[in-house]
Amino acid sequence: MQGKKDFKEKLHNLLVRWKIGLFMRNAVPRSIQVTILISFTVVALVCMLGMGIALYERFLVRSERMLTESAQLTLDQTVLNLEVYLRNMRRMSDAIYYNVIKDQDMNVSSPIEQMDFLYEANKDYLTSLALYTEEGELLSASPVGVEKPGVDVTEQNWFKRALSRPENLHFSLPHVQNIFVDDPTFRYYWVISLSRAVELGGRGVPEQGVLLVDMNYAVIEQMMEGVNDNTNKSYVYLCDSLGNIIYHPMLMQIAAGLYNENSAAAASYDDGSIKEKFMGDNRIVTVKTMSYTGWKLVSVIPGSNPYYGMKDIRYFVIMVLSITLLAMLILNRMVANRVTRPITMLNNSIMEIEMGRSDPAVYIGGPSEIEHLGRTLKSSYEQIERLMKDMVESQEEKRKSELDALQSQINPHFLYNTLDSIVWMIEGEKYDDAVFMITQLASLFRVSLSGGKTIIPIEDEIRHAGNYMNIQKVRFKDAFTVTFDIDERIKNLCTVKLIVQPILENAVYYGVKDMEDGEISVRGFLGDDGDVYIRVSDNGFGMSGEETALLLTDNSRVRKKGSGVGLINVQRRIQLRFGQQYGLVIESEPDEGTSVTIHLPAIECNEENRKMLESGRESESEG
Amino acid sequence: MKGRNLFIMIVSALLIVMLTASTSALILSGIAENPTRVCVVVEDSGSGRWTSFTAGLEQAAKDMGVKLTVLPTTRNQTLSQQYAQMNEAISDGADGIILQACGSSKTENMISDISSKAVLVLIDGEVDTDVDVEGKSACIEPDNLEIGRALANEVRTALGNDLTGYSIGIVAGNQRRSSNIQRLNGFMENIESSGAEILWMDNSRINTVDKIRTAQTERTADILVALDNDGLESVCEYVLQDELSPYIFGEGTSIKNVSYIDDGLINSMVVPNEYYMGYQSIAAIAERMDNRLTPMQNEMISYRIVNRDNLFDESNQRVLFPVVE
Repeated sequence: MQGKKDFKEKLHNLLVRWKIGLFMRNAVPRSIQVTILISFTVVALVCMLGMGIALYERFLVRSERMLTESAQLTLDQTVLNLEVYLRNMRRMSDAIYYNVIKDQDMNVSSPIEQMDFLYEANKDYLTSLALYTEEGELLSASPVGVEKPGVDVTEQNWFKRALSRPENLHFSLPHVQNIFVDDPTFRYYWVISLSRAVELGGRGVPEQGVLLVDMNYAVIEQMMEGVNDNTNKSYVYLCDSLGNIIYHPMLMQIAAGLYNENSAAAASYDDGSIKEKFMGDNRIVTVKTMSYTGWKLVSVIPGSNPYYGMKDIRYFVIMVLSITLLAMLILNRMVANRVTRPITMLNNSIMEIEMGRSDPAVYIGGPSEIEHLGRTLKSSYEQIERLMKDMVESQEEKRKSELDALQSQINPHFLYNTLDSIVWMIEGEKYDDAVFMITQLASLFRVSLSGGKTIIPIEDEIRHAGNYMNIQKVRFKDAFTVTFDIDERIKNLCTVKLIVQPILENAVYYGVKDMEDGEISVRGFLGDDGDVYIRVSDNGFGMSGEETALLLTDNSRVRKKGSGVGLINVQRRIQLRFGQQYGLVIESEPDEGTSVTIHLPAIECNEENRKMLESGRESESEG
Repeated sequence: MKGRNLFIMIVSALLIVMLTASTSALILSGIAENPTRVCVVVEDSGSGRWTSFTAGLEQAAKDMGVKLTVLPTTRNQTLSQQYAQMNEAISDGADGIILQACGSSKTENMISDISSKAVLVLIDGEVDTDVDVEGKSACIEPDNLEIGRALANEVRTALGNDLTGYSIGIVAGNQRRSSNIQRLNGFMENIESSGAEILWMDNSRINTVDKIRTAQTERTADILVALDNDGLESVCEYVLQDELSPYIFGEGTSIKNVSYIDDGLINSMVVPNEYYMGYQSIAAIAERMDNRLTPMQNEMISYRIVNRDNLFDESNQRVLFPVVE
């Protein structure tokens, strides 16, 4: 059961494979030229793709490295500029504190003049300078000294941070300055507040205060805008150590919810470059931490950056690939054409032969193998042509021989003589003889016709010979005797019709006609080799060896007597039907007599064999 | 033979197409495309109320490679003047128009004509249009009805839910514009049940300060509500000039109004995210230019309520003070 199932599965698999194979064979052109063309092109394409991918990867890595290095250089430079700016701000804060505030008696004088002086000297970088007591009371400010009503600086982050960690200087996030009145200009300034706790002198007991330096945020913005002024989509932003954005070229979009930045993650990165995926975009992020503030300058090269994505390189690779493939296709076609041309020419020759064109020119040329094929084809073709010609000739000969034999059946002279004899018998009132003659003649013609058959049983052929001899005996007034000794076993075997009668005719006319005691014997028997032999012997005049030889070779001899159907005709008809090994054997001795032996194969005369022999297949197969 | 040639011809044709496409892409990638040109037609384009909006426009134009032109206009424009300006801009090569129509009715023909010639984005107020199945224009604006309601709510939050005994003067602005109509409807809807009396309403577009003064002289309202930025500025100017101290509420975006909040003049102000409105207007036009088959869609923008307490909140600073000086 299991075996049967396995067999079925195997059969099914084979069937599927065969169907796929059939489909592929139909789908893909199968000529040698296309095979060579496709093979060459595929090999070249694979090599090119391999090389292309390797080169592309190499370019990509190199490009990434260049971009990263460039980003790091930019960051280094920007950090340097920013640090210089921030250091200057710190120094100014130091200068105000150590040179002005610390030594100043606040009860006696205000540091306003010095602060105004410093503000004027640095007003491009500053928005305001202010000194507060620990309680948030404004001691001195430059350039504007009027606080907005209701402002409580002690609630502001920069103030709280300064007092919470008095040992440090503190940089705030960018914010709108909201301490001083600036009417009626309706202007608000974005600042970064640099605050520190200071010791106020001259007020009895040492007292703490807060010194505020509001740095102009526009300075940082200008610096960063300069860095971000490029045509590609990479950008640099600044955030603090917690990821709060200080500057971003798309800060407004971020505030409006149009864009997001991965600043919290960037703040956690160490200095250097890292690849990250943010909102579906693969990008290279380079981080540089600034000293003192801990701010992080972050360069972002998005995947859409034309240099990073190397879009142009991709186009270029596709272009080169297309050109090369096109060139390869043309070149490979030429090569394939050149290689397959002799085969194609030979194929064309075969196609000409197939189409039956007369005298086709078979191509002989190209490489030695093809040349050999051409020569072989040509010789085969010529051989086939020759065989065909022989076959046609043989068929023509067969037709002619049988026509001759047919003619012999209605030999007018024979018929006239026979009919004359019958008339003579009737006139002599020998009615029984006349009836016998007519009966024999009718039988003779019936066998001759045989319903148009060429192959008949030996029995019929012997009957025909008997009829003929009976007629001849009457005509020649029993000048000779005839004996028939036919083996019963051969009577139902096949023979070509009308082959015994011409031999008997010859025996009568050239052998015993003019003799007084002429004897003709017809003996049919199976030979030792199993073949059929029918021997016609007479005791006539015989002939010489030369004459005997000519009987079966000299077709030009003109017969003077009889039906005119020679032994050559009999020989040919036998050989055309049964093969060259069969035919006649003539033995003769002058004054001794002649013996003609018909050699036939032993083939039972049934309908199948008869049809086979009629169509000539026996002789072909024998041949 | 025929099949073989066809096969090779198809492969060759494919390769030629690839070659042409990649070569064109390579060449085109090096050539800057003609930028989309967008013209902006808004009333009184020089007004400070457009600062945030313009910042959004400019940023979007920079991001999307759009050439932006804000046409100079005055305060008291008419529809036909705007129509003429837009036609002129289109004949000068504008691909897109951003329009703040000065009236909302009888605009079908104008909108139909303009939107068939250029990509049209309407801001700050819908207008009458024919049926636009193709989505050739879109409106980007805040929910004006909600702004009106929010203003009423702010009044009630500041002064109590029951406003019986309080009187209100409304500076309703251009009531031919749907945005102002809707704001008024929203405000009236939510203030009705408070018991406050609406003393007067002013719809003037020019000399508004004088009109307010006249109205206040005749019947003095305790609460002044302005439904648009210009109206709110006018109310504040009137109050400053006459040294009065009514409660002031309104819608506004300009730095002047922000400053009035800072000064404690305005109690509460509704601020639409006009930066977003500007940015999205350009984005909508750029998107439509890229894909003409995609219909444009209306978009609502958010708003926030600002008062003196939250004026300098971190989240408000970028919206209220967009331009860094």
